[in-house]
Amino acid sequence: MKQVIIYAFMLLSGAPAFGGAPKNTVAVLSVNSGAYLEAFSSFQAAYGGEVAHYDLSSQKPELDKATRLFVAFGGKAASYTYPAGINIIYCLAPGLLIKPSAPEARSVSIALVPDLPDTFYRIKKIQPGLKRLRILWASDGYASYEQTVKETGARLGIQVTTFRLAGPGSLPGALRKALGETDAIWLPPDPLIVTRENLLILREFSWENKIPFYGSTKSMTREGAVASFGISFAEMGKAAARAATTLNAGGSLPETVFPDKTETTLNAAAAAKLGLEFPRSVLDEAGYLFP
Amino acid sequence: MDRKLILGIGVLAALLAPGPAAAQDENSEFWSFMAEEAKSLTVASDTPETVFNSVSNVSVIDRSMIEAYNFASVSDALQAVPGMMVLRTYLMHNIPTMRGALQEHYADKVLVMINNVPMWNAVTGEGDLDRVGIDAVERIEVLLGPASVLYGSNALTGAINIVLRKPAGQDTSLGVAGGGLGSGSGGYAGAADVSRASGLYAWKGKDSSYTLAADSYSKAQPAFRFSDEAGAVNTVKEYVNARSFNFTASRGHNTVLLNAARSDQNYLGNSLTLASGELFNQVREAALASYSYNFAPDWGSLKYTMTYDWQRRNIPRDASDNLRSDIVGSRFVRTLNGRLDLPGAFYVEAGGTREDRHARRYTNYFSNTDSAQSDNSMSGRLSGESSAHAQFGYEGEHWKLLAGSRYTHNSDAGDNLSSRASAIYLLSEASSVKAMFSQSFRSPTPFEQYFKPSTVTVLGNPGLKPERADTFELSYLASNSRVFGRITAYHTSYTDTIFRNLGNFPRDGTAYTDVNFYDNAPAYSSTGLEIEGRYEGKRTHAFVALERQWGSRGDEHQIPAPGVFGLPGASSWNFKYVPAYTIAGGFSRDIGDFFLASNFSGYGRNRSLRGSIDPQLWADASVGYRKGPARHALAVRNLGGRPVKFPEYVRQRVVETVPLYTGRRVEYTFEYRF
Repeated sequence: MKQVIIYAFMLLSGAPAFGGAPKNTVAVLSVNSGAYLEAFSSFQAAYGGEVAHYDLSSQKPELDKATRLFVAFGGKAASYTYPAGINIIYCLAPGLLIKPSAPEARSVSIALVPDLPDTFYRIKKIQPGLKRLRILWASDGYASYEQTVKETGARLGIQVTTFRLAGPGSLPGALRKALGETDAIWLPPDPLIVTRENLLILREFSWENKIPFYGSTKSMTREGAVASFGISFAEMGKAAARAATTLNAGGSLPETVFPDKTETTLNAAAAAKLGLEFPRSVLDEAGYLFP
Repeated sequence: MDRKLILGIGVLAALLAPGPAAAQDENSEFWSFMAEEAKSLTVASDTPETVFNSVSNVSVIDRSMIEAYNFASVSDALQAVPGMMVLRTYLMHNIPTMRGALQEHYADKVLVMINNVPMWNAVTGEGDLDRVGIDAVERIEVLLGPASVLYGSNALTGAINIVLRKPAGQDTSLGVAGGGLGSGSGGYAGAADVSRASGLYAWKGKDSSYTLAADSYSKAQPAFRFSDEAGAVNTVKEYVNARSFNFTASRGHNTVLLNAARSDQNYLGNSLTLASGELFNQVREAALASYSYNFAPDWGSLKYTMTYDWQRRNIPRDASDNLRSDIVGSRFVRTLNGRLDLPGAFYVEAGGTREDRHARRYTNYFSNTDSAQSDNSMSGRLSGESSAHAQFGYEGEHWKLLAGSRYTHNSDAGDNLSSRASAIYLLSEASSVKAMFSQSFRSPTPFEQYFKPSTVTVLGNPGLKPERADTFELSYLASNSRVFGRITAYHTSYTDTIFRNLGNFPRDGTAYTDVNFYDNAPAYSSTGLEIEGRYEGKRTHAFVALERQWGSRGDEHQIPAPGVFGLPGASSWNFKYVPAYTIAGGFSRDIGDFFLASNFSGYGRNRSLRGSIDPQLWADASVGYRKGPARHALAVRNLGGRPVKFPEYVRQRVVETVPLYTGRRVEYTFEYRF
């Protein structure tokens, strides 16, 4: 009976159960390992101390009245329903459509790629003759970039076209349609199409048709992209920490924060196959030049 | 240094150095990350086609809109769509009506679907909006305009697809429990009767998912004084009590949908008199089972669907609720649709459908003895409909073109060929221009063709032809991140519209005089303008829906004087009863943990058979509280409390109007998500 009364009270008051010590900032990880743990560890170090964190694959996050900020690492954590009125930072959630935050709260997404003008400018340095760039994507979260990428490209003299794939299996058809319509392809870190198999298909297509493709992570460069301009997981964690500090201090931030440090990776074999030469300035910036 | 020692240190250093092995680990981490993230995302084929590149005019009411405006039912939510009215006749509640094409009691000109599976009564043809409770709805897709090439018969003026809720990401679940208390029936219900109870649990994995939902909704409006066709004034209890159960599950290529529903609603008599069942209860029951197999190879897709849909309606017919009618029918439908992607950006869609309809009975019986009085010439009528369609399309970066036809053979109503052609120019991902031409048809129902009761209320007409509609539409749609707008101009020609005529009619060698009978109307047309605007801010939401219509009088016909109360005759045509203007709007604002919402609907000056009806406006207002998983809302429905009237356009004798709303209601609802 007591349980029924408690449950009824919770139901009517909308107050979840609390437990443990006060937690001003709470981190929620999709999984407590791999990229999420790496980004979180970096976040914690930059934030300046231990932060309460939860592994969403095994437990539901708890909070108390002191909780003012959630930091979600991963798409599953970002999709979790958080209480209204609490600030949220989304980190490592590529392709996810982030809905507007609840009233009286702010939400900030940490980008997985450098700011678009930065990316396009670097691609243009490698491929000065670039006139037409096609961007392939599939996840809802990238739909909002549609207009921005075209405008950004136009400012650099690049005609950017976007093509939304129905799913991972649609890449071959999308590449066939790109023939004769583009000088290069850029692939954002979209989990719905960035698979090992797709990168193999893309590499073969790229080399065979002499259409360079550019990626957005070091792993894409390893798999055959001419170059990638991305952000490391650790750098994303640091950017989340800076955003958390700003939000806690009552400062304002844009809806998307682009981390400062871009990780440039190059693939010498791909460049050679496509007849491209990396200029000295690009080589100087590169963290990796894969043979 | 010893060369062997140097070599050994070198080998050890090479083994310990963070070389290729470490890089491989980092690479694996990335791929694990991508695989994990893919679970949280939905591929485009699972998401609705955007309103911008859809080859039809589609308006979507999604979950966030349902919650923002605190809509109480699917019928309430549909009023947010321009061109859409949910009407009531003296027999039926919640009749979806598009672009002013009236459909007497049976909503058979608008196809209603659950998860794309059509469901309608095999005897009288109507779809039922109460087969899904609002708490189980993820979104409602409204296709405005003829859609027979896509869906065959019954999508004469449009289609409504009710999509069930499911979790957002992979390996996630969604649980919802809700309830509510309603008041304000003025005698029928108490001050705080249970007006809603619902439960939903859904789960989604990598290759499988399921949704289980049960809903109960009661809309008991204040009782009203009703003057019937005999001049008797009675207190009528106005209510719809609907219960529904829905289950859908998919695994791999296979999907199953089960639906069971029952609604009780009040009835104003089959001839608007106490002697014909006024004041008694009407029951609608339905059960549906559907299985589909989806196959999506690289070259296109294939989908086979098999559906069995059973419906029953039980209605009162006399002053003592002894004589009743039991109406039972079923449909068995098999559909095979495929798409073949061709070189370039071309594709072909083709398919076939076979539908067997069984009008099992429309029996009048005495409920005290359970003995039959009349079978109304409707027992065991079987009919079949076969159709094949093909469409040829092109999907370029900016242009989307589609043209095709459907050929249909109905065993009782002959053949039909409907075609359509659409051209969409995508100005951007968020704006487009659409030009469309579409044709549609509806085969007459067994009731419209064969019904013949012992005491004639209405007669079926075996010679009925399918009714048809041809529509030209031009639309412009645009949005930025928060504002969406659509403007559509259309012109529709209606041919052989099936309607309830009044006059002399010969059937089976007997000449019936002054009876209602089904007939094909002369051709008429309408021209309209629809404007839809929505604003989705961080805390503020708003929408407006406007329609302006100009209808012709091509189907005008004379209604003789009823012979009582000295009432004169009059002329009648479809658009006589359709208001020139309809409007709906809503506003919602979040304030901290609280929210305010209000929405309204209305129509301009209108006509009844012999008189006019002043503009009608009704509004709901809600205040609510959301915290964590719990949500509470207090709503006042029909805030002004004034009765809202609509013309009585079916029987057309004595009674001039029927009520859409009889007064004010107050409803408290809560929801808890887990």
